[in-house]
Amino acid sequence: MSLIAEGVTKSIKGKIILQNIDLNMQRGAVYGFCGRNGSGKTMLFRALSGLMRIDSGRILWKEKELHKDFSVLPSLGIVLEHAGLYPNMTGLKNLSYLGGLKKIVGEEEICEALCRVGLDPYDKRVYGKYSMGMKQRLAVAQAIMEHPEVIMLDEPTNGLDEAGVQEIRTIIGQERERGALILLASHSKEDMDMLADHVYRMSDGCLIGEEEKQ
Amino acid sequence: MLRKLILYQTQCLLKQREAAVTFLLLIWFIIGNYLGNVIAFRGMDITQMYYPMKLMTLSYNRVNYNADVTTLFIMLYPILVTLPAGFSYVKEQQTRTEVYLVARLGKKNYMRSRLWSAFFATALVFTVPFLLEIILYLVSFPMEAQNDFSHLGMYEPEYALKVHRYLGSALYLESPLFYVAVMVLFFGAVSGILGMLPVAVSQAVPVRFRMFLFLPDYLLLNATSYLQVMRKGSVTCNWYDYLLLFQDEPKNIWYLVTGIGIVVVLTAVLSFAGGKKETW
Amino acid sequence: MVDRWQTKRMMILFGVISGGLVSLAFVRPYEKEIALAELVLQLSGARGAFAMGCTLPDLVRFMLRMVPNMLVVMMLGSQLYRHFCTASVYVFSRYPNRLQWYLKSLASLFANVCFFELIFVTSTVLAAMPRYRILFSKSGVLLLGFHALIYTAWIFGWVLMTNLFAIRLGSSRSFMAMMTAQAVCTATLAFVRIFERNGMSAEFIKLFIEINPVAHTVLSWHQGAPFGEALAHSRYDLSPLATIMLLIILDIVIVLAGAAVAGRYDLLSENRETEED
Repeated sequence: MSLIAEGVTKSIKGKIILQNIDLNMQRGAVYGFCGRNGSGKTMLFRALSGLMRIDSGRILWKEKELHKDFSVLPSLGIVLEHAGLYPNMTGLKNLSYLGGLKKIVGEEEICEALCRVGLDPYDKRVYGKYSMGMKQRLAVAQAIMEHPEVIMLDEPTNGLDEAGVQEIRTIIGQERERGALILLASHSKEDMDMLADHVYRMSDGCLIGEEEKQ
Repeated sequence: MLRKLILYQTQCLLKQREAAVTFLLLIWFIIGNYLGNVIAFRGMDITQMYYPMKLMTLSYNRVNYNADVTTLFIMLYPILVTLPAGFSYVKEQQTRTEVYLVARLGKKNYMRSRLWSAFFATALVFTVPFLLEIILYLVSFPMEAQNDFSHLGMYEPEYALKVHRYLGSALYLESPLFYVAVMVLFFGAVSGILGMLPVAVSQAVPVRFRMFLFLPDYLLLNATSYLQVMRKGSVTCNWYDYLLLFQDEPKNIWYLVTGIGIVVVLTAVLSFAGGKKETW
Repeated sequence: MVDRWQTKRMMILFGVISGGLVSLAFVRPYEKEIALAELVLQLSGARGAFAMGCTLPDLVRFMLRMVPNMLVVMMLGSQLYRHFCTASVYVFSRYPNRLQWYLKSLASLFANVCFFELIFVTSTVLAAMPRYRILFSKSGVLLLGFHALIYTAWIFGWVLMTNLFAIRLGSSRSFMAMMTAQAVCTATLAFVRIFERNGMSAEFIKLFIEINPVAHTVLSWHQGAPFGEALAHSRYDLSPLATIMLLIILDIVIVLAGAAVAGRYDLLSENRETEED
């Protein structure tokens, strides 16, 4: 089972955001994407997930085409920069609401996901009162709680302390063991070295280099 | 899947503060009106008493007597109708929760379910209190009382003319109680349609301050009133003349159909435009 | 600088459109000519030469007349508030004296309201000119000025309150609260009919009306110098001077309360607009 991108290209208001991206990614591996700010990592995740339409090329998941056979990847967990949750609900309530949409998981699994990221499921504080690190942990929890086949993590360790970073790395490792396909965008060389099986370098919307870790 | 999603999202909307506040406000209107009626008509002889359904909050017939609660309701309705669900999309957009929802549902399903859940949530909030009011009046006042606030006799031609001007007069002539129930459901349905419009607007147009979402319904409904004041015709085009019960101004059903049609078309077009939009 | 001129352009456009619409809808003399004084009275609820009543149609009509004012409240209701929404820390860290910022913003807000009212009143009269022969008189001009003054003070007060409440509650709740307050004040005027029907004393009715702020915007309920004949058909003999004083005092109170809110609001708490739920 693989996620394949063929000639993916996207422009926004005349500016090329992604140019001829070709990828072939398999389950049970971590694919790292690194590059400067504005190199197109986040846009690539948006395109591969189906959140953003592409101008040309195609994206295939299990031999089915995105935007033709389905509009978003059917089993996806995603953490994107600047995405948020409901500020006046607790972490558990937020995740319960999201979990109720597809009804794949119940409260038990949601609590488990919260514990895995180091949050207290029964914390009465609302999301609006969370620190940046807590918000980031909650974002990771919502991405993993439904045990998705594809997990896309855009700077998941942003704002986390050392312990938090270790926890997220552990989770990524566990999810890889579970067989998920993980896409990881990070500025941290350490993250790439420790976690990624393949590392792609991006610049100006293009893949400029690939490195496969042994 | 869409049906389950709409049901789920409607349930979530009804649990939110805005829906609860609107519901309680409507209940407050109803209780205020009820208490006023109890005080005013306490001890009145049944032969002089007015038909209980004509005492209700949505009854325009009250205009002939004392309609302070109805007045307040008419003034607030253009704003209130937005409240239960009008901000549901913009909230998710501003907090960027939209990303997680679209990632799970796909944009089309998400947008459609938002729109339909806004319809059902608003419709329920604006129907249930008035259905409860019907039961309250059935229990509290004598249904045998038949008088009208215009003080016209039932057999007077002028009264018959007024009755024939009610929207759904055929229903009224068949069974006044059934007429009231159906008209309350109709009121709820129209409120639901109006509740969809701000959601559709927020899907198509970026909204920075949520209070601007009061504008679509506020402008549309008040536009009908302005049109009525500016026109010289005898047939009314005022929104409340079509939505309130026992309203005996001359009406044109096509005005109502056109008005609802405009809202539906606008909602569909805006939502469609919003679906085509890409947000980065 | 760009934003200020954009607001002014918006006020001009809206003033012209709403003035024209209000003129078409509410300026309806029974004959082909109309005294300026009568035109002004019709802008606040009078029908022809008759003062506004307290029946449901009158009150709903009056609320309809207030729609342009509520739209101005909506448009200007975020002028101060927007600075507390985003980049508040960056904005106010450049204003060591936040009161200074508040007063400066207040002046701009007041100027916008004055601007709108001036354009609105002018448009109303100009829109009536092609349809009716307007008979200008000294008392008519004075009444027009009085109308502009009252409504400027009225709208300014509501606009400022909307901004201040929004800082605490968010824009939608704030506007809802203002709208409800105004609607309640207007709707309670319906009790006047009950009082009249039950034979309550004129003094009591006048007092009941005087404590209602909305009543002070109905010009046909006023009587006295310097308007003389212009207010000959006054219904409840409210004093024009008392009305001006009341509205100015209310505005001063709101301004002072605003100084406390704007000056002391904790910038490190949530962004009300995205945190509103």
